Amino acid sequence: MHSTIKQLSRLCIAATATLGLVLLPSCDEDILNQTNPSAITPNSFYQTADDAVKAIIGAYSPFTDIWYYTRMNIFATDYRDDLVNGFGTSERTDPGRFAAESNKNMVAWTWAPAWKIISRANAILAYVPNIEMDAEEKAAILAEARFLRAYNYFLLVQTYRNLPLVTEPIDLEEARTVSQVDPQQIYDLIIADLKAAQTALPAQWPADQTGRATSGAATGYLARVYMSQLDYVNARPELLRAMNSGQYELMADYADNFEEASENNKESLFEIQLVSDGNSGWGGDAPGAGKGAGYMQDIAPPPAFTGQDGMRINQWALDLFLDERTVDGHVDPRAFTTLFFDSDETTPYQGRELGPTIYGGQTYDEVFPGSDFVFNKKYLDLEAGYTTASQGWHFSGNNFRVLRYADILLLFAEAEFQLNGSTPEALAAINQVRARANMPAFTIITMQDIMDERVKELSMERTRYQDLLRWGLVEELIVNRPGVKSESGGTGAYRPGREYFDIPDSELNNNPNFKHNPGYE
Amino acid sequence: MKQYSLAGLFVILFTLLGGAGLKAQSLTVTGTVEDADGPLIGVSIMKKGTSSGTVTDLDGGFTIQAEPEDILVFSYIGYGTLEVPVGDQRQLQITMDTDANQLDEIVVVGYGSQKKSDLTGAVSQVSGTELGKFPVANATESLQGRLAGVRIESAGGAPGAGAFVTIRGSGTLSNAQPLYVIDGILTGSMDNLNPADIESVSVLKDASASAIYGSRAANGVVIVTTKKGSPNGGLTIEADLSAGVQSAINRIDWANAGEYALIRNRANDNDGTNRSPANDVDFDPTVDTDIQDLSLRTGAIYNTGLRLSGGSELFTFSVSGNYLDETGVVRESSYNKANVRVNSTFTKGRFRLEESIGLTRTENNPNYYFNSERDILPTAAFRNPDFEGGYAATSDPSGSTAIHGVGNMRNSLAQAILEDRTITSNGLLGNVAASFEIIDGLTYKLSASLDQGNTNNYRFTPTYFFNATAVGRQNFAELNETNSEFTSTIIENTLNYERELAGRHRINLLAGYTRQVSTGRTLGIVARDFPSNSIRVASTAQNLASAPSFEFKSALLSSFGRVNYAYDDRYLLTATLRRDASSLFREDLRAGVFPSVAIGWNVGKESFFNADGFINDLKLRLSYGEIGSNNTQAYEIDPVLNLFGEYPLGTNQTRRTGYSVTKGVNDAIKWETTTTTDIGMEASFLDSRLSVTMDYFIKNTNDILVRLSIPRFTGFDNDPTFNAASIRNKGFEFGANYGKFTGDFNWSLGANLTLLDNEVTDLPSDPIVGGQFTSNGLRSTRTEVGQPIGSFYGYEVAGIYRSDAEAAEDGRTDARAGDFKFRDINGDGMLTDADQTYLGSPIPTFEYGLNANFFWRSFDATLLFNGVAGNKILNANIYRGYFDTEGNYLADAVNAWTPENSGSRVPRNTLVDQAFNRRMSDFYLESGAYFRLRNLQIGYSLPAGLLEGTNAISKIRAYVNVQNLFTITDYTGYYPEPGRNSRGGTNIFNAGVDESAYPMPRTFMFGLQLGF
Repeated sequence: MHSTIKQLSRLCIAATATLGLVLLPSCDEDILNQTNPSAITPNSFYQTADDAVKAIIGAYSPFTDIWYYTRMNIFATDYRDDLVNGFGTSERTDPGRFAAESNKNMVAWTWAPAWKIISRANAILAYVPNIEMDAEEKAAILAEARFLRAYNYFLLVQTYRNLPLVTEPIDLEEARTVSQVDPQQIYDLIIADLKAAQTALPAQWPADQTGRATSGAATGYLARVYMSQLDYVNARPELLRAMNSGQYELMADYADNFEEASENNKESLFEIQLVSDGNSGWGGDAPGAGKGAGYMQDIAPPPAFTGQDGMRINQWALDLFLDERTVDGHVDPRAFTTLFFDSDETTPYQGRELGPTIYGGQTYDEVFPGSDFVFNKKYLDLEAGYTTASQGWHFSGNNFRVLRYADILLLFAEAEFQLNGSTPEALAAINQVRARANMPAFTIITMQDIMDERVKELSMERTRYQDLLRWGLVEELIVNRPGVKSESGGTGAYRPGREYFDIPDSELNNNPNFKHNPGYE
Repeated sequence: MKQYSLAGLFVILFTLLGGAGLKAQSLTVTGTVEDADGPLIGVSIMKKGTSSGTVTDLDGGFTIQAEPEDILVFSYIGYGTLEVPVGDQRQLQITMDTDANQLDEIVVVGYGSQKKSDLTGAVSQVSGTELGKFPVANATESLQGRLAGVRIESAGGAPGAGAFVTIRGSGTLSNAQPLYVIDGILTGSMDNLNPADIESVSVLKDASASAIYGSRAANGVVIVTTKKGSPNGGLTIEADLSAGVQSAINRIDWANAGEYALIRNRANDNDGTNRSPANDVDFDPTVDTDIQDLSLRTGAIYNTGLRLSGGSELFTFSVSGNYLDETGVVRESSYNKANVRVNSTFTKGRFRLEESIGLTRTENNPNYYFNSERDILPTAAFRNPDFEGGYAATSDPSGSTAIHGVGNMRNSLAQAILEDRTITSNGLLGNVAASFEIIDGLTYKLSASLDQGNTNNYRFTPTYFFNATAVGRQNFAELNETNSEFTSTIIENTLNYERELAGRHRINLLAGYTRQVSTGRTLGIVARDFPSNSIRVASTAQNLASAPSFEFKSALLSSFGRVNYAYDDRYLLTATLRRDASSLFREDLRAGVFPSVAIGWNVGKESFFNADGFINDLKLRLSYGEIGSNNTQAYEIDPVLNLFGEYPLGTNQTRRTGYSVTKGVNDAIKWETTTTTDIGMEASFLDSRLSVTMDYFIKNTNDILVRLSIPRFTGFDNDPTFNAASIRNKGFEFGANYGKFTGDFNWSLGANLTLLDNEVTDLPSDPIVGGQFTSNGLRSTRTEVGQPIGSFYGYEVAGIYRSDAEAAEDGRTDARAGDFKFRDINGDGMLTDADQTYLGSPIPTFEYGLNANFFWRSFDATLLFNGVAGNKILNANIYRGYFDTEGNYLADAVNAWTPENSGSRVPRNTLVDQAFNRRMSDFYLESGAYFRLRNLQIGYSLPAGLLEGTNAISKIRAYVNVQNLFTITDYTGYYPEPGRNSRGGTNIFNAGVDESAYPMPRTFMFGLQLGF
């Protein structure tokens, strides 16, 4: 058939060439029907079980996009909290200084990849049900899609607040007519999705599938979502479910949570899978591109260990650590794991002597003689033997732990405390976390204790800003606290409502129904 | 394609055999040329169809070697051109007539040629004699300053750099260039032509002239005709040899090591941060690296050309070869180009066969790294024999850059030296056309064209170590190589009928049908980890990282017709219609119909017109028409499944493949349409010695194909193409030519100027932001309704705060004494995004060119000036030189604001830059206006008398040529013609952004022309 057409068209060419004008121009109109020979059309996809697996992997893929966890996510999270004082005025520090206006790069960059995952999850939920495949496998993939959709809607609603509610594949025409909805509708979807995922997801995947979402991840996230709503009543049972599942426990060594050698460990509920194999691209949907921790450039102390502007940690955080001592009178070992600061002390911990050292065993005085700035050390992956910025952008394959058991315990302590006060259950949970760091047990706690413990345990794990947001402390602890953002021009751009980003111009300008967020009109 | 190359081979063979049989029967012809007032000095006498000839001397006399079959062409500005067959005459007495004026030159138009007096459209033509005069590497560049309404922007001064051509202002947002028609072949560029091969260049500027090219013509049409042989029975051999040197015109005054340390220390002190050891306690007075000085050099150019041409009544031929070799003014950049062209015609009775075949090979070794951001600091050592590769970008033997206080440091020159880069291209541009005159006046023509190119783009980066930062080392050797092939074939049928009726009606009808098919195929490879740095082919690599490849095919079917009608030579009418169908669009949107109509009135031919008065001739033209552009990529409307998603899974974190849809598609795209209205006037004055052409035009482009962002909540990450924007270009063009002789010598002058107003009139989306000039994300241009395309946008600097209190008064909690005071444009007492404004346009509103020819005895001189005004250039060196925290400073940063130097215009030195002084502002903008002597050539020809004795040599001319002898400008970057090479690429939204422009050189050349 195809060759007949070819012959016909060849005949056409010959005839046109010889007879020219005599011939009707319509003779070889067929040449105008061209389809792309270099690409597959989506029409033939979503047919087999293998397609369903490829689709769900495709949905995870944006997690390692430069705009997401391999870099930019840190600027939409930790760089906005009260610990991080980012250097310089740039697109990277715009959100931190409350300048996340609709035309800012960061506002557009962190928006897009989360929606990519949502749209891919929506496509899976629309098309995979029609595939003939193993029912259990299908149910797991559908549940996974719901988890991924909920996860990303949660990140978006916490960052941008006023979103469109999209649950099905959408084309360009529809995209111009959709409207933003009340955030509560988004939360309702998130909760429904997570509940569905919680029951249909496996508790554990086979070893060659490690990294995919589990029922525990869905449970932990469900609790986190309830906590973000200060809904302690619903959060508490979910936290208990995770605690009683028997699947999770704290690692003996606190630092194991931040080293490549101990990824996907028993403390971990969900991790972003990163791998360093020399590829230097920027993740996402390109072949052979980087999937390593490019964000490390932005948390390493500048200028010695990063080519980026980087950041420092505000002094109050160190002071908070130094306010108390371990049971044997040392500096909190988490301080030496989290921060790089000038100190004469060391802390024996898990058979090592923790102190103010960084890459290559260099001491603070060697690197920053005469300085008293505090820098970040968590996630720098010192044990893996990598040496700083020298290795390029994706030199570390250190997974990013999005949700770990210590967070579950502290959230439980908080929920329990809010509902029932300083009960033995609340104390047991927080003390379990403290004990791992050789810190003395509390006998009674206040909300302040819980808040402080979260700083010591979870700083630089992208939870602090979310915490401040749910506690309503952004204005008090960031905006009205001089010096918190002193390295990038202060917080003068703040207006009420700017706890959230504005909606990106790409959305506002292409859909007449979209509105700026409060504080940005 | 086989049949074409066979045909070409046959033609070459035939031409060479035919040529060998020719005999030269040279004789000496002498004579005088005069007009009613007496002898004319400096009249050009050429043998028709060749470039050999002479000029008349002081007494109007001339001597020329010619054959009886030769036709001598006498031309002189302000006079009618005369053609005189030599026959058996040895002595010629020529009288030239001022009444027959210039308007009767023949102008090449689409699918034919016309007497200039019959033209109804706006067409500018420039002869190859003018263009071929200057030894330039790029034929496009030779058009610069020649034609009103035609803007030629050099793409920087790199060897072999191309040029951007904009005819009557940009009416597109897609960076589209004009259509080039080279000997009937529709193609995308004339860069690879040998300038010496050009017979004439016609630029079709309005719809009346260009509508015959329909969907291809929206950005104007440049028609190039190459030189053919002359049917004079003789053989002409011409050789042109030239050689020269070039060097950068301007240097940027970067800080030396001492100045750098001073500035940086002051910044640290201002910020309360520690000084870096290399600038302070460990300052090494023996290190002072000047990367600019190390990188610049004196370059060389060699050019050799040879042409053989001749022919008889039955056939003519022209065979030419040219080789150009250029080493750039920046080290590690060079270019060479070889051209071969064979043109011939065969005529017998009513049958005629023509062929034109050009072969080109270019080898380009560009230096991509010169003047890159965050280049080696003056305090850092340039070499270190202990480091891999032998070079360094730090003074610390461990490779750390911490002592310099920066986290990034390149070594642009070492990188260029160690890396291997070559782009090799072979191109073939060929056309064979046969025509037959069926009955008197009715001619059928079949034309087949082939435009083919193969490119190998090769880059090998060996492992090296300059320092331990990410940009200072290459941990694995990488080969990046791409082979691509492009083929475009056109088969064209035309029928032409020309008839004169009843003496007064002249009619010319044209109908045609064409079919163009373009195909391309690309195979690339990215390979890493080689056993050795010296083995540089992919098969030896341990890691074949990726193989980006693609294929495309597109087709265009068109039919067209044109009517030219003239009544009594006074009233002229042209009407054109073209229908195109393109494979790039959906079936129901595929076809576009483009009509145009124009009228002309030769007032000068009216009986009431007095040709002997102040005005000697006058013509008025009016045209209106629509033309199109299908400027979008193949398969733009096809949805695609992305096969490249990946996520690492499993305990050993294997990358698993995932599929997804990432491309949003708008399949409703169609042609963009340009509607042009043109009013023109041509007149001659002063006994027809001064001829003037004026045009006013309004060019409205609608449904512009532009990539627009889409809501990202769709999950799509592309910018699909939409028919969205509208742009209006209004302009006025003026051209004048004048010739006169005074006493000893005579001269001619040509001038042209263009006024242009470019404005975006509709853009339904958000403003298009572009013009990034630093890796730090700052961007400088916006495209928005009411403004020219890509206008500069940002804050206005209103001065520098003299005290902290002054800053506080403005509500600036972030600023203090020494910081920029930005203008509070909306007057709300706060500095916010809303205080940004439009700061100027990169598009000149005024462009002009001036060329002058002087003749004195055997000497000749040609000067070509050109200039632009009304545009701004963003000089990114200012950004880097005052604000970048990791690169070198400008020496002037020493003069930054301090309490003691409070009158400075430069804000205080700071690295933290809390007040965000470095935001996009008019501080970076400079006037792009310039006036320059683009070319100066002084030649000396041995007088014909001296050559009489030698039968072999008919012409010896020696010349000196200087390019860019002087340029008057306030611009402080390398050159006010930066091209478009900023990090955003050649995109139109980056025009006028000078980030790392290759310096424009000043070139001195010496040349010798020989004729045999």
